[in-house]
Amino acid sequence: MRKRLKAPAEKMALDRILDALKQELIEASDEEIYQAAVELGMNLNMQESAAFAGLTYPSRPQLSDFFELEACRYLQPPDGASNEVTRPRHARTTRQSARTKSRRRPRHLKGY
Amino acid sequence: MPRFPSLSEKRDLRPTQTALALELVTEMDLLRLKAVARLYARGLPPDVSWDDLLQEAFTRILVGTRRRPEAVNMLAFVSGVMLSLRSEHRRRALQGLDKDEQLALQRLEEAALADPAPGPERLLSGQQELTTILRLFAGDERAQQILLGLGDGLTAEQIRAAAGMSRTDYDSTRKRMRRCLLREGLTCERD
Repeated sequence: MRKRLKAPAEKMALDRILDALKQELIEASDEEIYQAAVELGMNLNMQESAAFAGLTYPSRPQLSDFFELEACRYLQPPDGASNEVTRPRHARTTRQSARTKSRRRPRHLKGY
Repeated sequence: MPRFPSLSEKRDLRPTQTALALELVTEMDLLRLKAVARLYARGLPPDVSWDDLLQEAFTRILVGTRRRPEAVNMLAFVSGVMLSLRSEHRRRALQGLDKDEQLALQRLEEAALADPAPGPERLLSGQQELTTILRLFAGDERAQQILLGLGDGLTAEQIRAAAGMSRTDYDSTRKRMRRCLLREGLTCERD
């Protein structure tokens, strides 16, 4: 039985190439990164720059970015609270609260 | 540099934000790591994206699964963790091959009967991955020559001699390659 396994040539070549390219990227100066961003039309001085998507803010939009989901409130415990889902006993479901909202009459129509 | 709340102030920081808060890496370093992650994510199954690699690497570091030796540079360390994660994902993907790939493997297996040591699935994955990397520099013959030389383990002088390149040519090609890698690394497009 063979004592040592030999890595295939392609795998070794790939590892060497990845290593060299990684080194290139790690050693890239701030100036070069900035220049590359400018070429892509990105402004790194902006907090919301597309370059930071997936780094300092999620790259894929979340449902909760657009809707205030009632379920999210239950999932996010207040600071200091345990991670347990704490749903109030008499809390209304999303469907119930939505129905109530739609049936509520606007204030300016009251009395008519 | 934006101010991030301390860990005691907020508990649900994303791992990258936590890394920033701990002052392990700067924003520019994060961009470097993003570029490395995008490079490593090439050739991986579509359900594994670059941010998965980066987040997983940070998570493992912060949880303590991977410990950084004191002498190792932080960027090199995170890149190393991402590389090992990449190999894990690749291995897992190879275990669940579809029919076409299995056929290709079978053909490779038949061709590799004389020397079965590398293993056909590894041959296939190695070739595929090399192609995805070389595709980055499609149309740049010099860059591809340098890459193949690097793959063969040649030094800069040996590559220059083999490809008949002057030092200036070599340096400008490396610079061009780095620019291309950075552009590819900063973009938001899916591979």
